Amino acid sequence: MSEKNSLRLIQGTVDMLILQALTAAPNHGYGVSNWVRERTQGDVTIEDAALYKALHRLESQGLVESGWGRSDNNRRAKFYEITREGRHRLADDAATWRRYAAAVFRVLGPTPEAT
Amino acid sequence: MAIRGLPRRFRFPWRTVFEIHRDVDDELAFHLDMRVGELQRQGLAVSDARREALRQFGDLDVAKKEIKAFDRRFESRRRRSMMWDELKMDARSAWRSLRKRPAFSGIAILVLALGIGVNSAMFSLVDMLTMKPLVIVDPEELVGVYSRDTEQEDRYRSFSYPSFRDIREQNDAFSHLTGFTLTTVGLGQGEITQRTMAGVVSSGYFDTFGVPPTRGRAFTLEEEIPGAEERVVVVSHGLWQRHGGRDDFLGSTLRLNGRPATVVGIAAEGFTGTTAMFSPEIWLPLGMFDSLGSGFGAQQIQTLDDRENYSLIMLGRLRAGMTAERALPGLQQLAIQLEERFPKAHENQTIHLAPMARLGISTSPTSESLMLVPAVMLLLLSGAVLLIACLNLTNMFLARGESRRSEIALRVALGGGRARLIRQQLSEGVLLSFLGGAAGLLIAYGFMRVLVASITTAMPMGLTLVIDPVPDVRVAAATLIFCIVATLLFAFVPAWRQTSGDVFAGLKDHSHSAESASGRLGRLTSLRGLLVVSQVALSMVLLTAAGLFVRGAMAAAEATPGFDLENSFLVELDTGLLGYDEIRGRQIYQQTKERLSTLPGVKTVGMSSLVPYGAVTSTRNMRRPDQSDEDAVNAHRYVVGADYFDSLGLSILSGRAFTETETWSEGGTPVAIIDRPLAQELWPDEDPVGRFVQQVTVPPAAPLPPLEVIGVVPGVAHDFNDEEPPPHIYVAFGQNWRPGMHLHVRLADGAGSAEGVQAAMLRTIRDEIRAVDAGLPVLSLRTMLDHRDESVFMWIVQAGGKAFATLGALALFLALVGVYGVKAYITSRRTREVGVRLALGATPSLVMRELLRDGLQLTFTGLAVGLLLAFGVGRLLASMLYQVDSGDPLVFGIAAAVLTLSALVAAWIPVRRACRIEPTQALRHE
Repeated sequence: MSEKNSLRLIQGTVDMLILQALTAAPNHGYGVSNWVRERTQGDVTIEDAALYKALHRLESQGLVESGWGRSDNNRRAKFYEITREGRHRLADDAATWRRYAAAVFRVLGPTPEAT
Repeated sequence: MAIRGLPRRFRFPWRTVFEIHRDVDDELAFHLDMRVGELQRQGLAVSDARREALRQFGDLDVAKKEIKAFDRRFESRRRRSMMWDELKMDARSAWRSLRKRPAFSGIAILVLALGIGVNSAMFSLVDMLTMKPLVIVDPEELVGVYSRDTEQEDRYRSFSYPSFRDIREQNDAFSHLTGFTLTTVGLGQGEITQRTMAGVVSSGYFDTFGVPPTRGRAFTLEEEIPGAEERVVVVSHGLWQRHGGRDDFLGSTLRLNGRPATVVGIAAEGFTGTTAMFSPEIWLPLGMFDSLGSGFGAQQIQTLDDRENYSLIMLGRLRAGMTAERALPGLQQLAIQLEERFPKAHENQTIHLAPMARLGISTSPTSESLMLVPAVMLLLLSGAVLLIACLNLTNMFLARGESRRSEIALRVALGGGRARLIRQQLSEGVLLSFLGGAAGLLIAYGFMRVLVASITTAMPMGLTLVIDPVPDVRVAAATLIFCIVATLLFAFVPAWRQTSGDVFAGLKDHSHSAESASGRLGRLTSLRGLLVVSQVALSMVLLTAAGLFVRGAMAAAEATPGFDLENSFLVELDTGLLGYDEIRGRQIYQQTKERLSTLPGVKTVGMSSLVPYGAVTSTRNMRRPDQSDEDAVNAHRYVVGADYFDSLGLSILSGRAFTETETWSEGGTPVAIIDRPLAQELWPDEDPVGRFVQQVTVPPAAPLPPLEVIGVVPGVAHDFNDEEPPPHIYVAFGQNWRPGMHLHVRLADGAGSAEGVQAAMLRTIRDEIRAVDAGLPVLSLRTMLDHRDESVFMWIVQAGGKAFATLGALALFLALVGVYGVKAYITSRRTREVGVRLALGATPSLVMRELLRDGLQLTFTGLAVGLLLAFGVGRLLASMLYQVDSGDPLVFGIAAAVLTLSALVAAWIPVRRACRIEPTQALRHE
């Protein structure tokens, strides 16, 4: 799928994806960006500028914490770690998202690919 | 945050702006580098990879800017909340720590409350006297206008109303110019008439201050015209409030000197004119001047439109952009023109500009630097008390620190952070200070209430005190500063000391072996020694100052003017306050005197215009007819009745007293009685009876006929400060009518010494006066002794005595706490040594003597320093002392003895405790 067709993300979804990206382990912004791409197989691309703005915003809300560490290739990089509060928020947002998606699917009917 | 498996670098708790920006740059650079590397690995050329990475990123510059701005805001918010959290944490831990040692904290708060309270109180007083702004808009534009003699530069006088009008109309310096004077009037409501100070003012008076009446109006130009007799009055906000503060008070009628006047305005709250502390309570237009009669400072015979009636004080508001210096030449030119037009009234007069006095109303510019000396003295002395208090606390903190030394050393060694420890101790200090400061504000409030009540009793002639005892913002701010200064003084030094120095020594040296202790103990004793020496010295200064004042008060309490004050009552009346004329007034005095004379127990009733130790003085220059004016003698001039000398118990030395005719009727040969001091000045070798004495008048006043001397009486003092009786001349009431007089009621010996008899007598006298005229105000009615004890002078002497005695007692108490604390600490450190010595057979008394001797050296050093300082302070106080030498040996001796004895006792208590200990127990100590 070309980038032109990539999904426009609903406001707030970026935050949820970032938080989800950090649940497994602390990571830097580059890592988060790649994780989102890999997991969505390129269907979802977050513009990097928006990603970093979101990371800093999440930090100010206390949902993630940051610190400087070493990357895999031993470069100095800024790492983010999800906080307990961040996990709670993620759980809430994910639940809301699932209910929303389910509702939308109920209206649209079974997906064409599935038939 | 801790990144697992990653090392953390030391970081300050917050970042600088530079660091914030660098972090954002680094973070994004890392991202781009990684992405470029990834794209290269996918086969792109370097430049293409870079372009692609940037494209994927979006607008890098905008993003950087936005993120940096966001982080800066976030960081400062975080910093504020962190500081707030730490502050709360500090306060909480300080509170816990203080709660753990209630005795320590209680004493510390008490000591601080006293130290800070005294300073807050003194600040309230000094602020009110010298600095607190009055209710005036742009006060810097106001300037007093004075008429100065060109021949004698230090001679000033006031202006006549016509000259005031000329200056007001012809000057180009002032936007407003007002002329005013003060007088006392009888202010009647219902049955009661009270004597009140009134401002008699021109139109534009309130506008000159920029403070118009808040209700109603100010006076019009028509009301100001001499003889206008529009009976209108503006009252103070305070008077209005005391009368219920109702809206319809405006337009209501008051009785002024027996005649109605309409309230047309209510002045702004707090408005006092030019003066601080006291103020007139009513203002009248100048047009009423001529009818007010018993004027104050004004020459009654002259009317307001007389160009030679110099009775107005002038106050001007400079035009915008005008300064006193630039205004002066024009005004002096105006004075020259006035002198050309009115050579008699304006001879040798020029205009002088100077700021208005705050504490008085005067025809000459008054320097208030006179107030500065006592004000600075008070602040210095109370500052000394705070210093003593802080020294005590320093000592307490040091001693407490000693007991926590190993704990602190351990924490420093473990990296507890010295700054953190100092901070903790400081926050305990701040908390103590604030608690002490809060209690101190209460003390200041109490002090001001007592002061206001005390001054009110001594306030002469219907003046109203306008002091609000509740501490205002200024006092609160000053108190806050005292708290902070105190904290820095007492908490910082111990905190610094305890966290510095040899940490390991603190850890291992828990048992104080003699060798290791000597060095540090030596340092400690020297700091502690300094504390004791300065405390004792400062206490010595305050105790001596107190002693000097108390002796002065004692001397003043023994003072007599040269006649017996016992068994005598004094009544003050003023028939002018009811607007009575001379005939009616004389009837009242005659009837009152007759009624009082026939009371059982009353021996004689005398009458006089003035009273020794009173607030009012009136003197005239007297000479022999053959002398020139320059040789005249200044004499107190009393207007008296027939039995005056009898009522004081003074005998006639030669000649006779006034007759009843001379007392009650006008006419006849003008006669006078002089006292021996005046007789000796004028006729040193002859009997003055039958000779004539001439009163010197200053032109333009008309010359007066000579007075025939008919008798000579003994000299009496007029003021407390008269060491020798000054010359007096007594003239007859009949020939010199005055609406305001005093009646001296003397009881037969032994008739009225008892307290109950006195009270009954005072009631009887009041009833008799009411029987003569129910509306006549009894301005004062008290025993002669009370008259003396309630005078302004006595108030100053006694207030000084009380103030210094309080400060002195406080300083003594604090010094004793200090001496005790230091001694107790040092002695407890030597418990082990005492034990050893007792075990080896030394007698307790010997050990005690030695321990005591150690401390005494410090006390004596303090005494010596204090003596020197006290001599200096005594010299500064000399002008305020009454009949005491500023180096009075008795006072110095007693102060030194009290201090030595108290210090001995304070030192003895801990020493005795140490020596009572069982040797075995002492050896196990620590």
